Amino acid sequence: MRDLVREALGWVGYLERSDVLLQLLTFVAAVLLMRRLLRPRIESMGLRRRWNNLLLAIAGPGLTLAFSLLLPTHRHAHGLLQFLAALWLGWNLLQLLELLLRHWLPQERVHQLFSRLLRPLYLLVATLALINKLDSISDLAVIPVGQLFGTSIELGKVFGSLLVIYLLLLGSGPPAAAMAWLAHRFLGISEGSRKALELILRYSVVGIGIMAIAFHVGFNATALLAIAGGLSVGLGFGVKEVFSNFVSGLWLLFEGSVRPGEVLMIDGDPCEVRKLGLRATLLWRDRDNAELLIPNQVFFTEAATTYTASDRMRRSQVSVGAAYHHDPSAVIALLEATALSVPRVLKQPAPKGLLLSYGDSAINYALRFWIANPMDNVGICSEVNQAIWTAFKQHGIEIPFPQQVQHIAASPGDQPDANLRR
Amino acid sequence: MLYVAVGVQDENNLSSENAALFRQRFSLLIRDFRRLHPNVLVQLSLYPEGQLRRHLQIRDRAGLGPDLVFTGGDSANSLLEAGLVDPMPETPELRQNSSPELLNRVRNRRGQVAGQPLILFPQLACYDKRQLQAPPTSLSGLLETSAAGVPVGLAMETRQLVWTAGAFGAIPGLTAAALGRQPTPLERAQIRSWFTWLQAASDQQRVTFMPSQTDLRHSLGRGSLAWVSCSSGELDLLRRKLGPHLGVSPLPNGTAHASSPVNRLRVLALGRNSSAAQRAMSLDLIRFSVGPLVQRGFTLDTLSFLPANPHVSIPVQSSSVLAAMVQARQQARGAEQLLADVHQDDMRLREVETEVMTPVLFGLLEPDLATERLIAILRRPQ
Repeated sequence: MRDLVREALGWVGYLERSDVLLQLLTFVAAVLLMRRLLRPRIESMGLRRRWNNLLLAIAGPGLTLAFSLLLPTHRHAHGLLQFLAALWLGWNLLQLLELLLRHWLPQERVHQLFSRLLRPLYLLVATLALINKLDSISDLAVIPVGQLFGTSIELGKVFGSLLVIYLLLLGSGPPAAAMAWLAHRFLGISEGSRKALELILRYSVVGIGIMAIAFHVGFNATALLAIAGGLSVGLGFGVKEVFSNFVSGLWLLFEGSVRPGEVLMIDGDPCEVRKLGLRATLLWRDRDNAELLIPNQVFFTEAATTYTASDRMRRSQVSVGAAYHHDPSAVIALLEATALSVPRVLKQPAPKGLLLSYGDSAINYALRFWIANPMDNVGICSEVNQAIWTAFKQHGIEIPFPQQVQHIAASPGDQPDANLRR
Repeated sequence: MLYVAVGVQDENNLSSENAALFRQRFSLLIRDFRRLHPNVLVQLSLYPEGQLRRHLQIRDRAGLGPDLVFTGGDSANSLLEAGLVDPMPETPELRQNSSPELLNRVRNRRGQVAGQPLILFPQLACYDKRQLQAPPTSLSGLLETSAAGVPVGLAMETRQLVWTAGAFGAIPGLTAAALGRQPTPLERAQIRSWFTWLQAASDQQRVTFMPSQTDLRHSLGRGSLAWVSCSSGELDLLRRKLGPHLGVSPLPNGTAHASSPVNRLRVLALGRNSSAAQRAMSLDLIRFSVGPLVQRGFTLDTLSFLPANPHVSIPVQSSSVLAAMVQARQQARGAEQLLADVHQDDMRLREVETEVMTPVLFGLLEPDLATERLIAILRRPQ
């Protein structure tokens, strides 16, 4: 690593050359001219937005290129200036492409594509191209950065491996999704299984890729076994939780109990599983639109209530009180009919009214009914409650307020009041 | 700051082993130079020789070219032709410290010198002492050795095989053809006998022709070959593999003629983008590098090459390797003219390789026809 830093610091020496300084100063001048002079003028021209963007994208690099064409006539090198102009143009065109793609693809997708892949890739290529002008990349690539299990690790291999892993993590998603979709389409697997299969395929590709990279770097089977041994010790101490969550996630995927789309009860609220990640599961809570990030091992080690294990139906219930003078059978029939009139209450299994208890002020009834989507429970309960109020009003059924009759008890030894006795 | 680009020969891709070796060797030179100029920093950039020109073009256009290029003599010639290095100023001091035949190898038609000769890597024979007690001293002995079951390796590249041509006295005929003249009947016969021997060698079960010198080195290091032609520049890498079992000797001669090893010349050429201070410092470094004391110390420290300065005395009694290298330099004198006329990247050489050498080694072309075809190709202008 010391060699690399020394090499990088050595590049400063190029500033000793007048040609290099001249090109850099010309570039800075072009950037300043663009910002201070050209940009305001282009923006004040009132062109359509598309043309305005295009002109802004090419004006600065074009100006730099024009300056560079003037240099050779005075016997000056100009390749660096043209290179910087090309980089500037490339960056601007990338931004234009992003704007263009937003017309056809979802904004979030475009943002991800550019922020995670295209822009980092562009910067990487640009940096390597610049280093290629300053130094020998093939020479830098063989700088040893250390020894691991008797294998000399070279900078180029480390860099290449990290790049491939990054691309694998990013790029394995779409092919895995396509394979899972094909399985869903032609083998008829469920939506939850499709998502599970997609994740498993993705992890497999990344795992195989990492193994291949390890062999490419020069680790032999013995070294890999040694790493595995070291990891097992590490797992026992430092990264136990991480590994535990990872394995729990894989297990849950295979088991199918916590897959994207499932609905689980978390702290009394139904939550939908959005994503089963390497470390944690992302759930969505309808009540307050919160997203919960819960470590995978929680689902693995603790009891969980699910509404979607064998089907997605949920039995729901509302409670209501009716006055004593109403016939309970009439009230129950009315409750059941009312539930059936609410659109989102399932007809089958049929709603069921129950007399639960005799309360202080009212007879307490329960109305149990089934709904198709457990996440809609609160909304449907509200609809049912409203329908009950309306139905009771129409049929003259009273929902009594709590009534309490208080008697003043006489204390021992008190004389009865003469007036009262009379 | 001085930027030095180094072309590494015989490698398509740099290996960390080779890069470390080059850096170590160069650091010997720089270490001493910095004692005189402590404020000068030197940054090396290693390139595979085949890619050197392309990279220099890219860097040169940007004004970021190296101040010095350490490369082969032929490569320096082509870089000068391409305008990627400046001609060397021929000061009496530099001329005095170079042998005229080496300077001729880097002089173009206009008389410009492409680079200052610095060191010479003689072509030698390397062998594994565990498999071969004593190296063959003649070409017939080499074939007898292989017939006795010792695996022998030769490179398929024409320049690497030219040493065998000298053993048959074929160099004058080849030089004549390269200069556009018709070889005499005797010279033709000598070229023909060279091809006949090559074909006989190729027919031997234990003689392997390998695509490159690097393959030969790896095979010797692995033990799959016991005798190969090698360059003294590879001795360090081979020593690491074979240790005390590495044997080094001059290449075998013919019955009437000495072999003609192709000794690789390495020169320091001047880059084109240097500032005035960098150019002055580059010339200082060149002057320092070709000084007799530095050259002698450099040679004895590494035991891998010979100095280009003819005034350096080599203590051949102290090392059999040095003795073999000095003998190789003497053997090579006859081929200097041919090497000066046919550079490594000469298009004729490539044509000879595909149209003559490969078919001969595969038994597809008879020696008579090969001789005529070779002469016809060499007589064409470059």
